[in-house]
Amino acid sequence: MYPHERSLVKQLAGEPFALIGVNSDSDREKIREIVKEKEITWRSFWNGEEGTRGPISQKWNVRAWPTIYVLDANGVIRFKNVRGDAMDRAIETLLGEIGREITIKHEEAEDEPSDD
Amino acid sequence: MKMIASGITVFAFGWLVLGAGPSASAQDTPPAEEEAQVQEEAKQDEAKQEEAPVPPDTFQLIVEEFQKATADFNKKMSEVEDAAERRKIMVDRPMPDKYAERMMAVAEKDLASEEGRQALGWIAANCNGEPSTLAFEKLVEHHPDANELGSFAQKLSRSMPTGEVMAQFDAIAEKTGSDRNKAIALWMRTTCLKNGIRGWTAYADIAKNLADMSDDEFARESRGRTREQVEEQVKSFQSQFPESVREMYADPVAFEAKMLESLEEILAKYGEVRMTDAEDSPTLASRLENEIFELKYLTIGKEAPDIEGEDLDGTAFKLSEYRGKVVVIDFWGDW
Repeated sequence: MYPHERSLVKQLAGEPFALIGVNSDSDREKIREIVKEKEITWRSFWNGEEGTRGPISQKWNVRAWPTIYVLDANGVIRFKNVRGDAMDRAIETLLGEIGREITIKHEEAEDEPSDD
Repeated sequence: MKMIASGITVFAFGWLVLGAGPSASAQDTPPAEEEAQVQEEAKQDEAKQEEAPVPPDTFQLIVEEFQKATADFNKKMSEVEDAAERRKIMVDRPMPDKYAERMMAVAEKDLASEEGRQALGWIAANCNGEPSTLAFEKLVEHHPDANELGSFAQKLSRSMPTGEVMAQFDAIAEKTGSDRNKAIALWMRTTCLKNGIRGWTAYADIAKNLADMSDDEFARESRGRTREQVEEQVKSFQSQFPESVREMYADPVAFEAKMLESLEEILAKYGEVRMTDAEDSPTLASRLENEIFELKYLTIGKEAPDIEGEDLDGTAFKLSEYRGKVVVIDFWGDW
């Protein structure tokens, strides 16, 4: 997860885009260290000491991790549980709707023969 | 991107294994031999009983034997750190399936008895494949009101919604006289279908991604499998879903509406049912609350409810502060 998300956040800096985590690790100090260590560059809500049973994931009825929601600029849920390519396409679509035509391309892809 | 696609593949194929893994074969070791072995271990442990006579199998004895074997195994594993050595020990992990045949023999002494119910319930809850299915069928027939059927429905909800699994939910709901069993069976049926659509979608994504990949990309992604092999795996995964389920999955938005309708029906009929025999046991209504909230307010096309909380540094913020931006919400944990 991390490299893809890190790359998204980096590429879309300055765009009307945000990646918001809801972190379900019960030890806040430990997760803060991991955030530094693994360069998790986006902001997260903390789900509290109860970890996966914390209030946010309870209310949202999250039973599998990761669970992904993609919201448009109006805060409307438009995609769920899209990952990788599918997540990129979803974000492109929603940015397109507010006039930002962007093609997301990740760095790893750069040394590959381009087929488009 | 690469890592993610692999992640999906692992998730989905892992799921396939989980859902449709080959049922472990019934025990090969004759019971007497196994008992002798257990006794041997018991001696080595600390002198408990020097000369344990071999009593006839009962539900209680087999359960104790299994528990002891599990404890011994866990002890052995905790003492070894070397990975290769651990794998060797893993081979002898005491699997409930190894006890299924003896447990069934106990049950068959008198299927309608209390012990029959316990033994069948144990197999249904702990074993896999054929023994579990068989025990389930006998439970429905001889003990349709037993709580074990509710537990079985909960276990079943983690399987794929195959024709057989759907039929098992229906059998509980039809045959049981217990409102609790009926409510749990109907509820777990929706849970199973909801879990299933995640796997379905993941496989559909794999199929789509593979079709779009260049040969080089594919080679990196496929971990040695050919295109044909992967396509075959996707097909074989999808073919396990009965037509009725596939039709539901074809329209995810309508599917969620249908699940909401089912749950609201269950809530209206069985909301006051308690989940266990304990007086202070939660009602079904309290258990359904979050799930109904999800289907009502967290579906595609709905405005997301606000989240108010603190970030990892303790600073308060709200999801709604990000209005005007495209937002990906990622429920994650580093584990």
